[in-house]
Amino acid sequence: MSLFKVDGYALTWRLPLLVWQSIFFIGPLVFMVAITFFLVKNYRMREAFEMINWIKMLSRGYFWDSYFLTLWLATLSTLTATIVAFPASYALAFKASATVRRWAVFFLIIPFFTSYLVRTFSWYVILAEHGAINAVLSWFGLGPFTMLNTPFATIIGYMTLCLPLVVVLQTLSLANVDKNLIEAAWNLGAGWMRTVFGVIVPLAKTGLIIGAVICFILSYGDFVAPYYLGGSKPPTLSILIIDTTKSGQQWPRAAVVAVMMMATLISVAFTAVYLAYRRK
Amino acid sequence: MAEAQIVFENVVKRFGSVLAVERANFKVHAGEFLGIMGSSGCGKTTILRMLAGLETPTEGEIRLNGMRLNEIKPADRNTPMVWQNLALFPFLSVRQNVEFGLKTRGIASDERKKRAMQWLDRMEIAELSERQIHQLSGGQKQRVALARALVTEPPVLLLDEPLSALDANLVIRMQGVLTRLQKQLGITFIYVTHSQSEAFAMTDRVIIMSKGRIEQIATAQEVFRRPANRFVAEFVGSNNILDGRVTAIEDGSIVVDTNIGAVTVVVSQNDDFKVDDHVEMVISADKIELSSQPTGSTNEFRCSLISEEFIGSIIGLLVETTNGFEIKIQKPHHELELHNLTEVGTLWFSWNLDTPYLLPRDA
Amino acid sequence: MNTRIDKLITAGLILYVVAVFIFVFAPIITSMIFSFNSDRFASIPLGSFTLHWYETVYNDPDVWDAVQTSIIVAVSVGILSTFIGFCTAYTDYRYSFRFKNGYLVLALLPPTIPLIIIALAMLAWFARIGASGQIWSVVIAHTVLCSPFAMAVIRLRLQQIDLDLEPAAWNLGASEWVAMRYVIVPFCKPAIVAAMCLTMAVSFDEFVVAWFVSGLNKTVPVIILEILQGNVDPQINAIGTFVFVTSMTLVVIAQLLVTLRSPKRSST
Repeated sequence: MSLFKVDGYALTWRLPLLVWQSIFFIGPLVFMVAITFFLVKNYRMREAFEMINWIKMLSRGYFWDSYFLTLWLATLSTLTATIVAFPASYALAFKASATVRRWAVFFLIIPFFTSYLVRTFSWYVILAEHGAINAVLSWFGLGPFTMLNTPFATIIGYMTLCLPLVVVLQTLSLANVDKNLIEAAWNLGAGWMRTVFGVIVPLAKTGLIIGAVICFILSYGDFVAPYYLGGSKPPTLSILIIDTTKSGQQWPRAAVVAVMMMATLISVAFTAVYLAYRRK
Repeated sequence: MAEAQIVFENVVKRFGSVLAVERANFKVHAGEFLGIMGSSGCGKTTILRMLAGLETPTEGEIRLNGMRLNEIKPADRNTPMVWQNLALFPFLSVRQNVEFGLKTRGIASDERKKRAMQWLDRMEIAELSERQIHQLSGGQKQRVALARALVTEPPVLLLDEPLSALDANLVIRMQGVLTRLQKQLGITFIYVTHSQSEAFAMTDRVIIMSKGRIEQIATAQEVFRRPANRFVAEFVGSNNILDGRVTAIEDGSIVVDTNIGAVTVVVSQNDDFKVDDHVEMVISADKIELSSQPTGSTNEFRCSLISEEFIGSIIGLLVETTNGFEIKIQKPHHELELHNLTEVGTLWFSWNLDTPYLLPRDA
Repeated sequence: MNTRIDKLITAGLILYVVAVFIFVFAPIITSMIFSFNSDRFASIPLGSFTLHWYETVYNDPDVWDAVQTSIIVAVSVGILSTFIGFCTAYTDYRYSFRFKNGYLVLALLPPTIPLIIIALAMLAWFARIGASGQIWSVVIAHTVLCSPFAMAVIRLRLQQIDLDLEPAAWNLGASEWVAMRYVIVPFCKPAIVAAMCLTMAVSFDEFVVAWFVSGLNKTVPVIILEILQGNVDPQINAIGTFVFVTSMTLVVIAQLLVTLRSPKRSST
């Protein structure tokens, strides 16, 4: 009914999004799926319907190396961010006043407006052989340690990207937990651990999971940390897309990687949502 | 003969499967102060919103001065409304709020200003004209809302529970302002409220609604003394309703066996009662006599006091008959004091033979 | 109860929060410090204070071109995505219709997809429809990414509007268009400006999609990325500090507009 009974006024507000996102968002994504079946001849893409790109990419060992590495790094990043952020979020939600909390959230948003590239480069300087950390450690006669080009450095980079956001999301959801329920738990003689993991975490579950999912998405797609800090050996899927696109003009094969990434991401997101709401 | 100013003819409004208004039929005359009363969700606001054009009737027709309104857009009707939460524009000053209706009608700015100031003056808030809305008190906001609605000199003013947010003293004062205004302007006011005291104090007639249906359209006096049906009788609140069967018919009266015992009631001659007929009678709480000794009246019953409640200078009493039936009685404070009635354990109540009002029987 | 243990836990938690903040701000502060450091290769101990890197940046025509491109892109993106975001937020506020959930998914989906995937998809699509390598390519791509943020900011503002305000305007003789002009837009004004600042800041900082679709019209973050890929020198810190100051100015303006308005509302 409503689709046909729309007046000009209503359409004016409804159409911009529909038109813009169809042409410039859905269009590109659908086209990207289409080009996975295209062929490249003489550095030019030709329309076709061949499975060759899928076969070529999925039969290579290095693709699967990258695939599982990316999945593993993103998972590790998600776990690290969730666990590292939680005590800080807990403190900001329950120990800090509303004013302190608001300022803390404001300061945690600031990093999003600094260049992530520049922050990554700073970590490069800090973690380097002659960098700040090794300089401090040498005063105690320790090191130097090799930190760059290790998964550790990659995770540091991911944390630069995700940690502030995860803390903000966790803090906001924890601050919304009904304080009476926590006091009731104390009252009933629940210990510290029981209160946190039996009462607070389940109540703030949605926010915690949203934080984790966003962290996963950001780490999964990022190429800066694994490339400049992690050394890219082997490359992650995002680096694989860049290399395949930029050097060989092999857009169809890069698109195969991208489609695989999307499929994986959708499965992970749905699993997370399913886990979050299973008991409701 | 000229048609009434506003006519609702078989108006039905459905929201999906919910029936908000069920076959409303009524007429309003020019210059009338009409109340629409009922509990929340009874459809009273929907009637008002249909008049303003904010809802379209599903069936039926609404006419204003003989013209069909159904398809006319809200902007093209001159039926301004005073909203429950006032809906003043927070980003405009007091004067700009009042000018709004003139601006949308393309009136030049000098003229707009002049007319807005006239109305602010009339509402006795001219000195607040350049204030922001959030700087005003509740009563002042109310006056701005009235000025904003009346500045276009409409034939009808719609009011949707405009006093519900004010405190009790202010409500009485604003009631005075509204009745005076309506008399002076001579235009139609349609006033939606859930408050009986507001509706009965101000209006010429009230419509009583329940679950989308119009239960009665009458003056306040009539609603009180001659409720159209059991719902209205109960809604008015201070009534006792007795169910019973006719056991004997005498000349000009009947005897009814009720929950509290046999009651004799005067009936008019054209009422055609038969033995065993079911009747419902309404006995107003303020028409019941109370004494500490039996007086030997025809309809007299023994009772004991359960509770008392102060309603201003009136006291509401709840008594229980010997067979456990509760009766509401209202007495002026001084009368109870005079006879020390509340100190006594056993009491007798009674009423005149013509006090009970028999509810119309279903055909 | 055990107040001493409680105090100890609280003290530990405070230290922990401080540590998290140090981690978050360490790279930002490091980059600012090194932007004034004379050494070509960053290492501890520091060299002497210098403005050399800022001079280098200042005298680099490529950087100026990029700044110009970034500003054109950011302003266009700010206007376009705020317009789309406003239309979408108003539609969500005012109407309910079939497939509305689908409509909202379309509106809010872009930020959940990794930028690298969007970048590749846009690169291929723009090549296909003949829009690649233009300054407008970046504007279009960034508008897709930014309009959800604008929508969110404006929708939150509409959440606070008295639902009777728009009908009240119609009731006073305003057509829907006039009510939009005189009621909805003025009410949303602070959110509209905030949304513009926010989307401009996001656009000013985005490098993945910009890198893929900009061609020769490089934006500032793309220049940073290219410096990072080639001969890294502390110029990058100077540019980074410049980007930071620009973005923060926009964010602070947006924040002030939102918070300065709210006390007024709460008093009503």
